[in-house]
Amino acid sequence: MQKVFRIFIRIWLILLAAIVCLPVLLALSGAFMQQWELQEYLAPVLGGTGEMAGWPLLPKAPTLQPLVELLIDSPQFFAMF
Amino acid sequence: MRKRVKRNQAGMMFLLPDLAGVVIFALLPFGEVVKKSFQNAVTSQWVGLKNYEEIFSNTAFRLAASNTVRFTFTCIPLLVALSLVLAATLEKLRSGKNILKSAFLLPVVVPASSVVLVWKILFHSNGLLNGFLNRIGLEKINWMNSSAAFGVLVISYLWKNIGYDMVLWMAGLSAIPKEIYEAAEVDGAGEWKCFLHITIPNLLPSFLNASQGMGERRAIGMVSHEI
Repeated sequence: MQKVFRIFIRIWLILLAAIVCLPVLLALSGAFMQQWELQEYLAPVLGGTGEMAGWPLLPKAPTLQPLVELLIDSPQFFAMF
Repeated sequence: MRKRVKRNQAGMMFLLPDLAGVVIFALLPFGEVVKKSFQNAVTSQWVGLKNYEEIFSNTAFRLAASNTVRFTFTCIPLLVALSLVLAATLEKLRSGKNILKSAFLLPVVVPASSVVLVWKILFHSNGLLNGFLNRIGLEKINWMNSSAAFGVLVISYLWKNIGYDMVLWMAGLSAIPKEIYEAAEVDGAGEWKCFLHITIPNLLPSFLNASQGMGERRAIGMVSHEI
């Protein structure tokens, strides 16, 4: 009985940790998305279209381009932070 | 006796720099603010309680003050209780404790400004949460422009701060000698009794640390971008 309880507690903690990490994981996956993919997912929120927003945990076509643009091509970013 | 006085003096000397910092950077500015609250802001003339009469007759101030009180009295007890439960549960785990601890600590190190867009995607009327509610056949909720906004604020605050308080509780828990638990178990005490009569009394010194409400502004800042 106590073993079942311990397994239940462990599953509950893992689920809670996943929920806590989810916003950070969403932001992280967004960092590797291309412009068109971001527009596709964010249009209902930023553009006010009637559809519902969606957000995958993994990008369809991962790219480092946004990170390169931010960390190498934008020195203002380092000045700000 | 002379040795004891000498030791106390050494202690006082160590405390002096800290005390000086608190006096210069906290107490003196606070005293200045209190003094200024009885003066005219432009001419510095003494006006008595006129400034207080003015702000307490301002409805916007009263609303802000009541919201702050409501927020504090909801969030702090919730934060203290939930982080204690989390710390006590994590402490009992035999494996995977460090990974889970890191997962709960992750929001503490993430700047609020970086998750503002994610918060918007989650809580927008066309956002992910409403999409989920739609899928299970429930009505959409206007998270940001209804009374639900207070709930969003509380959840944001707990999300951001629960990891930090959990670590404070865990530090307190690790300082409790294991022998006390072993002796209680030999006497037939169950886990709940051990928690009530050993853990809670021994954690009282950690209570003040865990109940500090220093993160309020971060949570409000994170959500107020959206409201």
